[in-house]
Amino acid sequence: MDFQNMLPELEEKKLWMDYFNYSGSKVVPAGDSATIELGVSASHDFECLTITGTYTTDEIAGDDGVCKLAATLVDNGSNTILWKNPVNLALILSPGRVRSSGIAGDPSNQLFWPQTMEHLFEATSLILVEIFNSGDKDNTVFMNFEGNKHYLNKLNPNK
Amino acid sequence: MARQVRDRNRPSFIKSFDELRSSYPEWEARTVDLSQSLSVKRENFPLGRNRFKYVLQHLCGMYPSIGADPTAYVNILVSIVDESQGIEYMRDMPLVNLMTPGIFNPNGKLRNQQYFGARKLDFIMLPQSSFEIVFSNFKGANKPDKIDLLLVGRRLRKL
Repeated sequence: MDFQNMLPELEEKKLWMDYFNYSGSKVVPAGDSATIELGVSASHDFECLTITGTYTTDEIAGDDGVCKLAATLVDNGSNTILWKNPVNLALILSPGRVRSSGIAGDPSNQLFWPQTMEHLFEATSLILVEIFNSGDKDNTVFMNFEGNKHYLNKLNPNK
Repeated sequence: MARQVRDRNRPSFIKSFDELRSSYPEWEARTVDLSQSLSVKRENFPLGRNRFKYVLQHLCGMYPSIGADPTAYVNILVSIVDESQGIEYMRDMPLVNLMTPGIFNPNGKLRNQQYFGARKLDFIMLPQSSFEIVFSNFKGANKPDKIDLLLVGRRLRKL
């Protein structure tokens, strides 16, 4: 379907959408937690489609490649807890691991496959990702929420 | 281009923007403890007092390799049942086929942090019911100490 065919639906819903992503990173202290806060702009709702991201797997003894990070996700706009309890990042950012030192032959993964997570974050809401680090050394997380922005009551803000 | 991005990432279950608006993700992570001597392990997932239907969209997970051998074959079978409704969703699916590749090496180094893909299910479950994931076929030393599960689900305000 092209834009010409889509225009009636967009006009009816008074929507226009463009690709967009919200992303942020945080250093999570050892044995502690940190929160990535991403504020959705007041000009649009954000339709999240997929998640990608990376994390480090550092230990005092060295980079062992084992994920020690888990996260919960809250949409404070609709006051909804999307991930009920901490989800191991190895399962959702897959493979996601960035090698810090490791050993020879231990690959730093290059394929970051998007995990589907569809949710509509309303304008001005906060995407809150609280990350817990059970390791004995600080680790860094990068999270990326990818999707479309839907402008509010405007057909095309670029015109 | 925006339309292409949206369509390419649109999973089959959510077909329209209105369906997206009327539902939201509900993910749950759980660690299944298999360290004890067992023949069968049953994990119960109550859907709570929420009045909306629940869809189990994807299931993914990972489990540590057995002993020092990161390539040992884990021959565990998985069933998913809702006994209160008399519904059987899955019967004796090999774990290695359900969570693929699933295995990781907790000792780090090579063969660690691979791609933990999500298995598409789309099981629709009634509100305020519960379902069980049953692990069986434990033989001697063929089971890992634990399985980290992630249930990627969705609540439907309509349907």
